[in-house]
Amino acid sequence: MLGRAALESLAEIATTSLGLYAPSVVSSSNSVPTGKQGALVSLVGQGPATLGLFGTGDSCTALARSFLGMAPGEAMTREDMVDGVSEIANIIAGGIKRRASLFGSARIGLPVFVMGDVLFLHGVEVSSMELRLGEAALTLSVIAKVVIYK
Amino acid sequence: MKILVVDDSKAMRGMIRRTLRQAGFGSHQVIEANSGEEALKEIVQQAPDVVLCDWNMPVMTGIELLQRLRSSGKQVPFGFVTSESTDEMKKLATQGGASFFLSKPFTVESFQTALAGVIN
Repeated sequence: MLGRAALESLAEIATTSLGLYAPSVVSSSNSVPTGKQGALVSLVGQGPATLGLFGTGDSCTALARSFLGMAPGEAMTREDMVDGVSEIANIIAGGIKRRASLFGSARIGLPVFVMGDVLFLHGVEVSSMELRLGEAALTLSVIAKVVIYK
Repeated sequence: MKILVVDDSKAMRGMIRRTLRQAGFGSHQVIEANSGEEALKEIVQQAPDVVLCDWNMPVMTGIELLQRLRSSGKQVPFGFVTSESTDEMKKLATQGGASFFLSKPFTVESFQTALAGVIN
């Protein structure tokens, strides 16, 4: 459910802010990607979760360039790339909050940009989708705490 | 007119600038602040005609900035441009004196509608 809300939210951003078609899902998995970089945003609410948007350096740059509406050949700093990808992740989190009733009253944390492998302790469920969005190959992950129903 | 854009993301400030141009407000002067504290200084020094502000920012949130402005008697038209948009937040914004509430991702049309009554 959260994964679908995240995907719908990214599709909305793609069509309204990036000038792109909605992302296409290439594959799904239950792990976070390794050796990539990207932004993490926490949703603090009834069932805490963290959203991750990852890609290679080139894919993150392509995504941020679309977001910033940069012309071909226009120089982009790493700071701009980090800021752009983080802001997109932040808007996706806002979209999850609107779409998933469980997170309607959640608070959204500030984005954190990470490089390398993201490590979690036990007790979390990961739902990841490999996506194609314009020139970017991305991974959209939702990391949620495992809820044990008694 | 002078428009103050307040957002901790430089990328988002740039996108709001671009959307203002596309929405037909390109002839107005746009100034920026990257935090609530900086916005308070800009409002005193530059006296903007309207403030477009993010909600979720470190240290001072957008609603805290609005409350600070109103409690100090500053009645500058103020609107939110934010990725979070619950009914509770909209109610808080309205009660605090906000003129409009725009959700991200926004469109050129949503900017035109929201700002029509605020920017001449």
